[in-house]
Amino acid sequence: MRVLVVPEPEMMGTCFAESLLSSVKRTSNLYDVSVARVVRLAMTVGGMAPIAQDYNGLSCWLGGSSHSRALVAGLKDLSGRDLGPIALVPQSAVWTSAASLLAQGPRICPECTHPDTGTEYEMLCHQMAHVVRCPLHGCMLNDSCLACGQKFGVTQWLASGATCRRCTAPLWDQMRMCTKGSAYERWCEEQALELIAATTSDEFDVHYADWTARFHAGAKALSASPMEDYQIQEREYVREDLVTREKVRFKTLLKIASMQACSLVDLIRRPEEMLSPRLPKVGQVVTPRVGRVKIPEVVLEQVKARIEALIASDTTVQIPSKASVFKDFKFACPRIWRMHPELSVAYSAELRKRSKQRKDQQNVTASTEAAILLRALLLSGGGASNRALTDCIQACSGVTRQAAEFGLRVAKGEISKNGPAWRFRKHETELDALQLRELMASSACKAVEATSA
Amino acid sequence: MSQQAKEKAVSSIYLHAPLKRALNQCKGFAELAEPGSIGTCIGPSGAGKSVLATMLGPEVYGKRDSWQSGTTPYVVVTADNPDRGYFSPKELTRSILSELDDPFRTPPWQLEAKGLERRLAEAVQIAGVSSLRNCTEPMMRAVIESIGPQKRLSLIIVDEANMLALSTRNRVPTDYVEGLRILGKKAGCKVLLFGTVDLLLLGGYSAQFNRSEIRIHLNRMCCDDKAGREEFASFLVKMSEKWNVDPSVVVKNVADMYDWTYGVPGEVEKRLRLAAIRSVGSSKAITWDDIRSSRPSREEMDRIRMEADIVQSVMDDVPLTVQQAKAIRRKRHPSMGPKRVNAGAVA
Repeated sequence: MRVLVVPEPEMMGTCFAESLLSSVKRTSNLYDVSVARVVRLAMTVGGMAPIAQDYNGLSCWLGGSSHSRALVAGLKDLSGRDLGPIALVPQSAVWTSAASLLAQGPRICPECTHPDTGTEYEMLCHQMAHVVRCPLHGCMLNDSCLACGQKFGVTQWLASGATCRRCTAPLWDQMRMCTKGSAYERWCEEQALELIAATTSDEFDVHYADWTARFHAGAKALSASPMEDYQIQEREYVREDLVTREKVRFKTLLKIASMQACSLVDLIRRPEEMLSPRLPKVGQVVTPRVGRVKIPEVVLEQVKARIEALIASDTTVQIPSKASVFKDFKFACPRIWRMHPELSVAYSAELRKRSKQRKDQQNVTASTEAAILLRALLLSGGGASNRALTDCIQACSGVTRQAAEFGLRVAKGEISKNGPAWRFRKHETELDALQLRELMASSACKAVEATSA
Repeated sequence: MSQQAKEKAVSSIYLHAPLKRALNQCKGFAELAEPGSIGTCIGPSGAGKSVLATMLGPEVYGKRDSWQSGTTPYVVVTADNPDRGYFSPKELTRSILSELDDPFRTPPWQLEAKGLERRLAEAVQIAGVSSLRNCTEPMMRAVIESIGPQKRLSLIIVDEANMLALSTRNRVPTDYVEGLRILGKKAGCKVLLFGTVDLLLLGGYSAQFNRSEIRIHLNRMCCDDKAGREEFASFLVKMSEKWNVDPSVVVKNVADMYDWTYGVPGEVEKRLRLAAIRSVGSSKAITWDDIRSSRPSREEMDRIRMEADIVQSVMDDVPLTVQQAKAIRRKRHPSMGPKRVNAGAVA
């Protein structure tokens, strides 16, 4: 017996598919009750304890979390309608947590929420982390009020005719602008939209719980797609990450792996020998920890030798920071500092010493250069701004900006060479005040003594 | 009484000719009338209106088990006077919602009684979502309007609709009927009211209402001709079998039985039940003496005849007698509220 009427989700099988919470919201509108009551009922039927006055895990509105699963199961029992696909529950086989794919907070398309011309439902893709524009209207998704910067909350997202909770600005009236985004972001966006379309489609007549079967069905259907294009593109993204970040972020690999799995292009659960070496294994995806990679002893010895060589090198040579020591190596092994603490201390001291030495040298060079420049200016009778003088010193002596500024101030006599003048002056005034207080105290004592005598 | 028990009781009912005729007309109304139509099935007290109301739904839409999952093609609600003795439209609306299995406005035990899985009913109770606090009538009407089409609601049957006449001061009963009609129109379903002579007061006050109203007469068994007499006799035989009375006893005294009951089936059943109660102490079967001693008083008989005749006259468009007109006029008195007089007293 079905007691609850849940309206059919809109646009299933496309990237415009409705979200789970939107479906719940429409159900609550149908019954003229709050969303919390519908959720509470469904989650209780789904086997979770009801939590009063709470949205009961609505923050995981589309993930494969236990809350979402209970909500979906309860709604199915109550209404007979399976909302698993729009909750992305099928994807829970790949992600243990939906956090990597979710936006931090609810996001609103100003066009979709327009009371007259907007859609009657919320799209699932708006809440995906990689989607930054509404695929229907092309405008940027807002996650905070553009007038005051207040972040949107779930309750406000659920309210019809949403307005900012701080400045009450109507959200549909806010500025619309298109974002370009990087190639990687655009690719991620496309993949996220494909993911939604593939997950909510009922084209594959396989139950979502049987992920492997569904996966194979999808792979078979998409076997004609040009896989090479994807692989080349992915390589580019990894290279881009390498160039900009100096190492491949695990998040990037995870994103690519999950995207591939979801768009049914590459098989994350294929046999290991068929798995692409670029992708992390399933176990690594579940527990992404760099420390689990075993570094060979030879490499550790090499790193140690390199560190010792750096310490023993000429003092004029600038040595890299502790994090950049492993730049030329295949593995980043920061635990070597824990393994050899004496080496760590010595390297830090050497680093500090050389850094100070270099700084002092630059300061001296800059102050000399500044003195010459000021003398020349005085002789010529001209003038220049501080900025122009600093630029000139930096260009002539090749020192840092900070050193050039310091040199100029020394040459002008504003500060002494030994340290910042303001600190000294402050100290001086403090000393003066202390002495004054002591004098006053001693005079007061003398006065007291005089009166008592 | 549970739904299954009710359906079983209805299936064993003898369909006499007037009941059959009215049932066919009601089926025709359910099948052919447009959404938003309002039908009134009027008959004297005991003519079998409640039986007809219970019987109609399964006849037209099949039994509950055969319905498509998630749909409720018809609901049967009973109008009541829970608000200090007055009719309460809010309570009627809530009853309709309860019949539509709204988990937010139906107590869990009612859901379980209607055949919902025990697990779901318990979950509804644990979640504590069913509450009538802050539930206004417009809100509940809006819910019926939105859920009705989703559940493919086609017919709302209101039993004891004469309760609609028990209006509070400053309200006229026709307001409630008009409200029901509009509700049916918005929810895309038909409304069928079952009631006694009081229901006649609600009709004929506006042309718009008259246009959408369809009146069905559930008549008594008239013994004016031979067929009617045979019908009444066969009904008596069926009833005597039900109450373990020798059929020959009642058949011999058909004239007396007709005189006492005026051909109203409910009255026949009442006399036989009363006779059975009287004969409980004695070991022998019900005799004619038991039945004769349970005959109605003169006032009771007059009352039965008056109500049946008024309905008959109005339906046949026959001019009312002076007494009937007076009785009706008394009912049409504007101060129809707490000072409403007992229309049963013969003027």
